[in-house]
Amino acid sequence: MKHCRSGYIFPLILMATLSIGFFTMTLVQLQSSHHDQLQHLNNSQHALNLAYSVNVEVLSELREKQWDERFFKGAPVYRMNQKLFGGTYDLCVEDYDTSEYTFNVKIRTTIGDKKSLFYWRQKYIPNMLDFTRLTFTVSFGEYDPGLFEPGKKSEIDKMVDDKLKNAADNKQEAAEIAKALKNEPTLGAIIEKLAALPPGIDKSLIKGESQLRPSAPVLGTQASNQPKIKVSKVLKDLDSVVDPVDQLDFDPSKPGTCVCNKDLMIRSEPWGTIRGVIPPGAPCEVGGMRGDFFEIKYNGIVGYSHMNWIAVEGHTPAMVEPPRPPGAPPPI
Amino acid sequence: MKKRKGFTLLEITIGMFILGGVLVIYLQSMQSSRKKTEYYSEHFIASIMAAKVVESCFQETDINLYGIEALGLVDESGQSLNFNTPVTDGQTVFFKTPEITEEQHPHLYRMFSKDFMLNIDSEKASKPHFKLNTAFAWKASTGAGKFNFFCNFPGSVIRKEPHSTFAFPEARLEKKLVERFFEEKDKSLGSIISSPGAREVALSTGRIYFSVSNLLRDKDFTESFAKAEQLAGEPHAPDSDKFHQATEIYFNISRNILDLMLYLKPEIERVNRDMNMIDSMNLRNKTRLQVFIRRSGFAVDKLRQIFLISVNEAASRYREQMKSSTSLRSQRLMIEKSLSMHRLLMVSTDFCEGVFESGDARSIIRAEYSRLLDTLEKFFADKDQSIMRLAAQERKFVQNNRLKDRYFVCDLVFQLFAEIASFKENLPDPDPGVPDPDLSVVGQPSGNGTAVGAVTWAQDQLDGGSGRGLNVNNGKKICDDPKAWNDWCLAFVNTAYNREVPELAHESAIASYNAMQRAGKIKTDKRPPAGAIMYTEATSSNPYGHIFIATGKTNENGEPIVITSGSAASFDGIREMTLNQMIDICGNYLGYAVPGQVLR
Repeated sequence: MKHCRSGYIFPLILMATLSIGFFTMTLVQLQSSHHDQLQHLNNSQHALNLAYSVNVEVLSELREKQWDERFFKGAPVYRMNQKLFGGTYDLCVEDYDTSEYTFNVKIRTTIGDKKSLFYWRQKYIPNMLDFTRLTFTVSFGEYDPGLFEPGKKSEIDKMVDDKLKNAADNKQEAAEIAKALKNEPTLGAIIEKLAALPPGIDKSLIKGESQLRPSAPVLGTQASNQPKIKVSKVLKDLDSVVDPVDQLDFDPSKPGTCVCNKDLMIRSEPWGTIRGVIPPGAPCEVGGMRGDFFEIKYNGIVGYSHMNWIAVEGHTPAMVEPPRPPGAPPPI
Repeated sequence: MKKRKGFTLLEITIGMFILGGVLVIYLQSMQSSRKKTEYYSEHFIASIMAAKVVESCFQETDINLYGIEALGLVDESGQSLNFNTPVTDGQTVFFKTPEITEEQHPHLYRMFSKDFMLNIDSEKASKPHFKLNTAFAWKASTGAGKFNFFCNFPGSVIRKEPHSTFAFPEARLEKKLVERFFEEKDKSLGSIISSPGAREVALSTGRIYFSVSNLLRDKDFTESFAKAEQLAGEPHAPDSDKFHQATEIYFNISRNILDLMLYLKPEIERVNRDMNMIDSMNLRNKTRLQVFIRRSGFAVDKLRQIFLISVNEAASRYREQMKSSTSLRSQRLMIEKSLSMHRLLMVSTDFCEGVFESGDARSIIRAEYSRLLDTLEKFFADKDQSIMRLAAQERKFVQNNRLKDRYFVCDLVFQLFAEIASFKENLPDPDPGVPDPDLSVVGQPSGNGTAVGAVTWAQDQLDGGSGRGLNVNNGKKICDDPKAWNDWCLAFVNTAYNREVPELAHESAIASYNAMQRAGKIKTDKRPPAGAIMYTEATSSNPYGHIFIATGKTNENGEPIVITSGSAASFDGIREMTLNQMIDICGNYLGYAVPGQVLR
């Protein structure tokens, strides 16, 4: 009894102290977890910003030279342990061999002890009409940092390929769903159409389900109502400027036919001496051109006849006597 | 005993010390925890706010090459502006939608009005991008708080070199040139043209002419023109695949033509600048080259026309598509493309001949662009401020005539079209040459229905010729009566063509001209080829007009020489004279019809 009474206060104080101590530790732990959470969030954002910044630098470097002289042409470029904005990163830029003008940028960031891998597949836009854009992103994503290693190249590329293929496969269906939902008047109707409610749940339980959807605001841009000249008409004009014969390729030789209503001269050279004649309607071989003359072979005679009198596939002869150019030898 | 019943003073004192110590630790922890929690909350909010700023910069620079400038972070020259601002009450562009106001977000407002400052330092990096430090600073109860986000953003410099799929292969160019232009084989260009300057002109002409030939050879490309027009003529909804397909084709036509024209720009410049260097070439080669220079000049002018028509079509169709699109993502894409199309039209207003069927091209282009910018500014003011700012910035560029400075392709296109206009003015007018006479018509009563036959037959009626052409209207021949063809000009030309040209079967020369005109066969330049049927106007003294034939020859001044019948008022018989002499006798020149076109 004596022991009991004299030892009562210490266990009490000990218990109180321990309780307060544990409470304080829990509080510190919570606070630390809060701090870690915030740090993690900031680090994630920081890692993304860092990777984006590196990608911007890659694009800046790409701009400095033309595509044919790009810095990663022929072989992947690796840059390891680079420092930027308080973090470090590893970079890999390489051509994506399967598709022209396409390249992959892999950036592995390290912020504190956390590693992240960001992957951009980008397409260079070589044409001049898209003059406000150098590249566009085909795919972007975050992947397991271990996939950065050169040995894992095919693995990560395949993951991206599959992702793009899925997107392409689903595009039609997604467009159809979006189209089907476009005219549904209420949220409830959309949920019903999507069959998104679990069995036994009524849509009336959803707040605001019967409220009418506001109509989508319409942009007031308009097509031009000016009468325009047809582009095909101008193409026809262009076609008349360039001789159709210049759109032909004479390699290998083509069959031709004399369309002259009398014997057509075979000359030694354009406007040159006469080597022989081709009778009207006779077939010959056409092997090339010199000026306005076809190089022809008829009956063993090789020489030149004017294109106005020889029909070849793709070339309709004018069938008019051609003018002799100034400076050409006089007629014989 | 009493003493044993209670606690000793020492026990109580020790107990109180322990408890007090623990309590002090506890209270301090609580206080520290509260402050840190507050700090972390503020820090967290600052990081979220900074992320929003960074995200705004992403959005802005994604659609706008000058996004960092539009946000007010740098000035026109790209130099950093001091950006230090509170974030409440819409004091900064980054927190305008929605604004942080006391009424709408009282809790946030109290927090942010407490010295919460956004500070952005921009720095133009050595490479063409900006480095931004987005910082939020605030006065925390634990002291000053500051949060930094560093990030790079793209700058405005984009330059590409034109590449065209239609470019004629350099390896084949010289051989092709030697054979096609200069009628030679197995010779080097240097052996044909000794002047290096003239050689360069020939090579440039070849690049232009054969690259355009390559374009026309690409049937997929040329057939897409008709496909686009067919789709555009059908009643497809603007959000339909077919409507989009037609727009895409117009865009692709513009893209491919622009790439080709810009690839050819240095060649056009060279030919235009150095054309006189070919004067030292021999007559035959010089004339041949002039023919192809002329064709090349017309060809690039047609490319200009095709490009501008397609760009205008695409711009118009993108506007229509934007209207029916409810996805902001696709709207942003179309806005970007549409603005580029409009920019190109804006810098081409002086070169829009043959683009619109009627109306003033400059007014049409300006009005349509202004209307588009107005609409974008108003519509996106509360939906996507980056588009609103882009439209406002664009308006400023237009007002200050800065499109060419800001977008290098706009500048290139302006220079290109100015060059094409000048080239077109300076095109040579080569002598087309004269066909060999067709001796089968000599001594015959009429020609044989061909152009060369008409010229040979008409020349046979000159003094010294057989003069056996028969005027069936009066039964006379010039060998018997020098006045046989007097006042029978239409009959003379009709007989030269053996009465095989339908438009010559009329009662008067002017009626024949009108028939040719209706058939779209009249040309008005003064370089008629041999056998061309030519006209002068009807006058009060000669209400029938006059008709005669081009010989294809020119005098030393390059004036065309024609062959004509006489009249009671001028001379008897048949004569050759220059076109100007003809005009002096008969009145204004109306034009000619090409023999190849008039023949059946």
